[in-house]
Amino acid sequence: MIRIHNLTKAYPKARDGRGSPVTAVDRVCLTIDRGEVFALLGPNGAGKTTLVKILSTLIVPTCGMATVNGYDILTQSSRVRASIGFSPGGERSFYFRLTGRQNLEFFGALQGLRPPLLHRRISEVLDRLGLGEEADKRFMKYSSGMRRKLGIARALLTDPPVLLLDEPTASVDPASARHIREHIRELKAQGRTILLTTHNMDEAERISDRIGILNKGRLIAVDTPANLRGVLHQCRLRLVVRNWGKDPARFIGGLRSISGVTAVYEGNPSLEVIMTQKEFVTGEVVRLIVEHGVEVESITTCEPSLEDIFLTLTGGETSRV
Amino acid sequence: MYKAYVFVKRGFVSMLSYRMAFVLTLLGTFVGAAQFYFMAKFLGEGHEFPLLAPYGGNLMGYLIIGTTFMSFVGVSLNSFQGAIRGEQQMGTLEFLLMSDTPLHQILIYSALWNFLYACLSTSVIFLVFVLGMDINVNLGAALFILLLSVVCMSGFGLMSAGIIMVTKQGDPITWAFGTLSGLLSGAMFPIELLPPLLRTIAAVLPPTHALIALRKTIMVHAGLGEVRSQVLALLALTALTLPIGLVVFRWGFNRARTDGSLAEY
Ligand SMILES: Nc1ncnc2c1ncn2[C@@H]1O[C@H](COP(=O)(O)OP(=O)(O)OP(=O)(O)O)[C@@H](O)[C@H]1O
Ligand SMILES: [Mg+2]
Repeated sequence: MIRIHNLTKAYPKARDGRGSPVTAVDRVCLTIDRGEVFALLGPNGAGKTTLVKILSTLIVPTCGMATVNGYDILTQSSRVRASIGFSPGGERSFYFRLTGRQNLEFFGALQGLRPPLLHRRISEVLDRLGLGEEADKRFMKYSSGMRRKLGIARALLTDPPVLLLDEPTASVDPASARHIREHIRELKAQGRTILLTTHNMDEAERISDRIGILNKGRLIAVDTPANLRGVLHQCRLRLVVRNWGKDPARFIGGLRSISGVTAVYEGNPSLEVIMTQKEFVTGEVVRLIVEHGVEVESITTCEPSLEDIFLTLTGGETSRV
Repeated sequence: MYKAYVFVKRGFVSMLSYRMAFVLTLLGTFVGAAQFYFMAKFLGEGHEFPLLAPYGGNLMGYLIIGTTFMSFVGVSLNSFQGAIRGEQQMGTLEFLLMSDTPLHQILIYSALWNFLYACLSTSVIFLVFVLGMDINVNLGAALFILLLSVVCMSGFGLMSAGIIMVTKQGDPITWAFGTLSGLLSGAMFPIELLPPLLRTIAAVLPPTHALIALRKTIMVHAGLGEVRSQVLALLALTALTLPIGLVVFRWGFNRARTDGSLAEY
């Protein structure tokens, strides 16, 4: 449904107009199947928006090629546009002085919808996203979350087979985010192909069939959420400490030097150890606890989150969120 | 056609939400024209204006048409770049382009609203001054000339929009064209008064021809046949400026798409 081959975008100059070219997307290859929900995960500036905009034909790539719904983004761009619904990452993409409904009417008409179908579709998508009551308020009175939902509503107006959603749940409250995720699942069930971007590993893990991790323009891993967990054999050990004993610094230093430990996050009273060899490391940790006279209230292990995986893959170059 | 309708509707809804601004614009043009009304009264007392003979010697009508037409020059020059900058600031430009409505249609529809807005805000002057005066309007011919000259000057508007998409700031073309038109096209005085060199420049400015034709159709009920040479001049200039404008605009648009700066302003 979406095929990307060796796609590269080097902006001629950095945002401020000075400096050297910026390679925002770097030789990305990827195939997304029909009916798949694919999450593009990456920190700020990873190139997610750039990639999505290239697929939307809004940005011309430097080299490489891509097809969407079987159409080439360079030579058949109008067919590509007719196949996709795009929801932008930013908040400003509507007319402030018009109501939500008037905005949708305008954009729907430009996409070729005519009344009465246009008005029916508008009511449908507004209800679907729970915006029915706000529909006749001016856009400038909308909250961030409502703006985001209206953006998704607009992407759905023409009932397209492919959806490109740039950060669909950013700045949306948890309940609405859940609502939007449920909606994305429904859209998938209808056989739609969905590419979404997010910084939220938990979200990617929950709604996507596959996840692609993008860092500095490079796609560094593509797999199912289950495999991304499995491949790395990571595990997180969480200690809640009651008494730090004689020499906390040496205790933590000791934890760090255990082979198989990839990171130790200090907190008070809890401490997290990220590791790759569960049995061996847990034994060593217990040994150190006894040796340093540390009193521990609880020890729990948990499955690694994508966050851990992400930190490992990117070599911890990004700070912890 | 439905697309044109939604553009006009959008403009109308926004205008109503800025009711105050619209009333002030209306008032502004009105006061501006009143100024020329009194000026013409003052200057015209006991004087004859042989150079205005082709227009029935009516100084007041001459000046008011001159100044009102300048607002249409402004519309033609600024409506494309204004539309694009407006959409950029709203963050909606990318969506218009995504909507698969060809770019030229988007431009035409946005400009259509600007044109209507200008008509709306000058219509009051037209009614009060022009209909109240001793003149004989050929409305059909006058509207045709107005439309033709707006299309003709739009070539410059397109160039300016193309340049602005890349530079994101003012461009010299609009400035030069606007300033030269104000001075040389005979908005406030007959171009016969200009030295020969300047008169040659005036002859290639579309507003020069538009003004002659407009004044004749509005003040002495000239038909299109009587302003044939002006119509031909406008058509010829259109054939020249419009394609150049389109090429420059395409260039700017593609540059912005490569820079990834379509939505920036
Ligand atoms: N128009 C542009 N001109 C120059 N550089 C740009 C442009 N747009 C983006 N960049 C740069 O390209 C890189 C990728 O940006 P992009 O917006 O694609 O990242 P992102 O993954 O969407 O980030 P975020 O999570 O913050 O939305 C960044 O370094 C950014 O500064
Ligand atoms: Mg982004």
